Amino acid sequence: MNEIYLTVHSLTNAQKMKKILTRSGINAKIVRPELSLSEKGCAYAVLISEKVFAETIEILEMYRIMPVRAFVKNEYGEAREINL
Amino acid sequence: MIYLDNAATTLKKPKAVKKAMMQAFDFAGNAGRGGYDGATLAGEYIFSARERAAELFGVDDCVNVVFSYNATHALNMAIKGIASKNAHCVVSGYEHNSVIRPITSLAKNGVTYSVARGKLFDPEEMLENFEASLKRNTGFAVCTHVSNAFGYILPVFEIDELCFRHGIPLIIDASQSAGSIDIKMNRLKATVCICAPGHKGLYGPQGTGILVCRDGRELATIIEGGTGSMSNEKEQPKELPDKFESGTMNVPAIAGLSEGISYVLQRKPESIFEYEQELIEHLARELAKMRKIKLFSSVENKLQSGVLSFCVEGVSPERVAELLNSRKIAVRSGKHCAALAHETAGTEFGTVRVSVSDFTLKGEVEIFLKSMFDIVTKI
Repeated sequence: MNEIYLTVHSLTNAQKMKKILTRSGINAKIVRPELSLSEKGCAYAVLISEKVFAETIEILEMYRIMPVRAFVKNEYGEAREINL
Repeated sequence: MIYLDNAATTLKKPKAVKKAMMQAFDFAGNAGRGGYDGATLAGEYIFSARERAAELFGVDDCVNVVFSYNATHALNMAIKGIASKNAHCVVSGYEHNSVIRPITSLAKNGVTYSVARGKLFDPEEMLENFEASLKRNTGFAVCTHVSNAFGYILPVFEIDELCFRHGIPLIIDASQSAGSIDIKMNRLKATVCICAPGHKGLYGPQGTGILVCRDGRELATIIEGGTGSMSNEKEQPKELPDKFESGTMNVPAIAGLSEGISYVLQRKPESIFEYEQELIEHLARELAKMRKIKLFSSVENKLQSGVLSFCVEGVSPERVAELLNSRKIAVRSGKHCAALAHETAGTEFGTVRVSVSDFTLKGEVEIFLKSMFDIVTKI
């Protein structure tokens, strides 16, 4: 299963996002994404499964906390940006 | 030791405070500086403290809770972050040096200020004088919630309303009230910042403070540096709380503070206030019976927190504190870093200050009173 990286600029935003998703029953983990996924340097990402992406975005929109960008990574580690 | 200097720092803390500090000391890495488990744990300690502080201070979004080194640091961030060149500001006559000194420093850049004075324990006069001090170019106001020298509870909620009517942002110094008087950002109108120490009524360790912002995006920074985020950018990140939290955070201390706030949330500020009132009322009543003691008190009117100041006729406050120290009782003497408050109250030679906490025992108060009785009897 592919993974989705929801990138954010600050750790606190990643923590808020993770808390909201976890409370909604979505498994989420905070990771440091590789720099190629963040044009502004060190960032954080909330990692989710691709199968819950649509549901995740719906929940985050409801709480008015959106990632800066989203990337899908396949099993070979290749990342591709996807629209939010 | 009988510790009655809780207005400076609370000494007895909930047990969970020390436990959390030790755990963080042993296992936490540097928050926001890596993706490994220790760094993640450090981030979790800070996030937990941030959320608890947001709950206590009625902040909807915890990003507006910024950790500082103490209340003075938070006040500097608030005052210097809001002051524009040549702005005028109004402060109460009961401010601590943590307010007066940053403003005096800003005066070099053209900032001017007026002091709203008023008799001790006269909130109506304070409110009137505060309004009279406002000018057309008043850019902000600062008011302490409780005087650290006298325990006088200033009418900050009315001053907030007044500032709101005049469109003036207010900064509240909650150094002596946080934890024992409920103060919530979402119930205030003009207040843009609440500044609080972590080591007093919130029962965290020394070296912690909190700046609570209504919307921190509007405040300028006073220090910039590494935040562990957006590192390609030379400009300080605009996102909160990173904007104000440059450099390594004191994670073990914040982990302890988180437990201190948790204690206050469970115990509730109003219950803590009630207990402290009981102690202060008893202290005031009994001290008033002793000869040669001049009390500064308005406990009966509910205008006083857990701080009580007094003087002993013919004996300096320092000597009284020394005599008490020889009996293993810790109180503070002098001006309590609040010369302006003493100037306003007319106590130029300072006072002896007794301050209690939720952990002060009634028996300790009795021993203090007995010691004071002995001291004044022997004079």
